[in-house]
Amino acid sequence: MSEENVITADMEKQIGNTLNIQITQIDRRAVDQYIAATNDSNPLWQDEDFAIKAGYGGVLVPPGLLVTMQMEGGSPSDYMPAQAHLAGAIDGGGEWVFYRSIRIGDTITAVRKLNDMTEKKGKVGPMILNTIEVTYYNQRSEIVAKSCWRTFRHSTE
Amino acid sequence: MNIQVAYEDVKVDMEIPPLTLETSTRLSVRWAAASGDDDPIHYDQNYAKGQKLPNIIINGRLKIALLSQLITNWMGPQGFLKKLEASLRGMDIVNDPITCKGLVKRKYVENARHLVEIEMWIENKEGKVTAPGSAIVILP
Repeated sequence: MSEENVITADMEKQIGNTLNIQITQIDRRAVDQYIAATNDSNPLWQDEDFAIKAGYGGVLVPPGLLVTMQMEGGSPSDYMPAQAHLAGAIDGGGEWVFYRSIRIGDTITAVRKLNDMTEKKGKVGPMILNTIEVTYYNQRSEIVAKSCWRTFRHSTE
Repeated sequence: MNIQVAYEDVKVDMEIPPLTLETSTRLSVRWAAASGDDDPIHYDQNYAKGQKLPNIIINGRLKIALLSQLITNWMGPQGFLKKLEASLRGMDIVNDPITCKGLVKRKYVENARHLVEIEMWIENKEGKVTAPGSAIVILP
């Protein structure tokens, strides 16, 4: 392994930049697919009467559905072309802060930004740790949630 | 999940009722459909083994979604999940059960809101923690 920097000038230029903006209307099908994948039987996501009796206008979207939206907008190489030569991404985890409930029919705009990029030592050589922030807005331009997601990438195939 | 937890009834070190998921290739395929993450390491055994993995591995984001479910099941319909954090530290293998567990670490009032902080994690069948995390909920 050479001693040259794994993080190139082109890669560094993207730090602080908006990487992409994804607009998604949350429909019943997306929620049903999420429920099928997680076995989440909470009536708040499915039972209109239960949700109305609980004081909501109707069923809510499970907050975990935003976790499914983490990959939307393509792979890291799609929105960070300067990293296209790197090996596939490994999820490190992340954080979500929720501000408002999401309802079926809401249109969510996800603004994805590269917050930070650092070099780490991995078992098979140097790795890059990307920290990506996503801010989710609803159709009223209210922030519904923010996430901060960590993705590792190896410097060699 | 239909029962409302009241802030006054919450005690520090109280256990959150655990949530176990019997994983399967079918469930992994469903997550791929729900999330758009079609990396074959999450549903194609031959491909996964070709990548030197022991078998199909469970998508890390599915594990984080399950941790959110652990909390929303417990907090009741009037609760609000304010914050969720998790680190993906170890692999979980298809057909092995994964269990989400949690403990109340702190309860406090801030800006007239009743907040409860929870330490939570995912254990594999050997009891090894593969995804530690935490959550903050607002309770009535």
